[in-house]
Amino acid sequence: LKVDIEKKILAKINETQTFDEGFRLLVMTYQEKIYWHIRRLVHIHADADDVMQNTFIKVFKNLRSFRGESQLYTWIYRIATNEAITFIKKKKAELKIDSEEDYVDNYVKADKYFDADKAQQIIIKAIEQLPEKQKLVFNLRYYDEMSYKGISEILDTSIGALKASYHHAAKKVEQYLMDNYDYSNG
Amino acid sequence: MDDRIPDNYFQQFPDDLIRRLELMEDDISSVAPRLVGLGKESAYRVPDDYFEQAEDAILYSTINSVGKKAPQLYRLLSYCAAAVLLLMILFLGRGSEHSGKGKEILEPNQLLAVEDYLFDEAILVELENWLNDDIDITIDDFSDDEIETVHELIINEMVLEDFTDEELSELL
Repeated sequence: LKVDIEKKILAKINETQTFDEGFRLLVMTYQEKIYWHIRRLVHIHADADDVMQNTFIKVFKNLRSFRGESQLYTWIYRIATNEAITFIKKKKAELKIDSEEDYVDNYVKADKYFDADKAQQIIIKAIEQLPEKQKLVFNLRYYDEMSYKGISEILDTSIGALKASYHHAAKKVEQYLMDNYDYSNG
Repeated sequence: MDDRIPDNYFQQFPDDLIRRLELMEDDISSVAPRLVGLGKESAYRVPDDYFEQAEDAILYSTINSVGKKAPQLYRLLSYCAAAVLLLMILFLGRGSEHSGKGKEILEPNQLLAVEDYLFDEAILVELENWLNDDIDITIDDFSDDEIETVHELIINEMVLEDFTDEELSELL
């Protein structure tokens, strides 16, 4: 149970003697989910690894000041999201990326831990075309199947706006698939 | 009839229900049938045992780095990092014979002392593994002070075991 685990982690973190144990439990609990969230934003494994490490270092440094105003996991997701967005913006600026398609074709496909068939590549490009916020909403909802309440805490946006955003995003992805994916050839 | 229910069934029930209702409510199969039809299979892979190793690395960068002895692997990596520095200085020292760059030229016995250290088997294996991982490090990554310190270390034929982990990490 997510709520029970969070309570357990927070109880340990609030005691100096069990702080390390609490942090260890936190990493064990959220590491994989956070990794996949980051990976869908930065795409390349080595980049996702760096961003995840930085995320947990930041979590570690700020954990004592966590006030419990949101759920712990949404707080961690927020840190991870900010780290990933900052990272990818900087990287694309450094590489002087012309388009999102250019980034996927010339950099992401070269990653040895990227193994996409034609359809998956088109879906990734379609999601990359979305405005930043729609991309985040789409990933969190479609892939992570996170509740709107959780997404609302992470992105500080109302649930109504998130639902509209998700549907717009899905329609845009669908349109991109219609324009770019040849179903007869796969 | 079996009247048992899963552990925490009733505690979980409200969350599960809300999640199910939400998924029904924003079912996108009508607006994005092609997308839904292609499925959610991931194109992303990770190295074997990645999450176990990443967890160790995170804990090492955070809780284990505060006043605690580093695990053996990281101790070895520290030595490898030191070894790389030593190698650079070694080459710098050799290069200086030709280029005139650098103030001191290493004596043959000093070179041997360094090479003996570097060819310690355990360190060599770790060093090779590390270098095979495309380590991106050049002499320009180090300040003149750092280079001078390591140079001194070689000149005086000191060995790294004379240093604590803390001193090594400061040095590096």
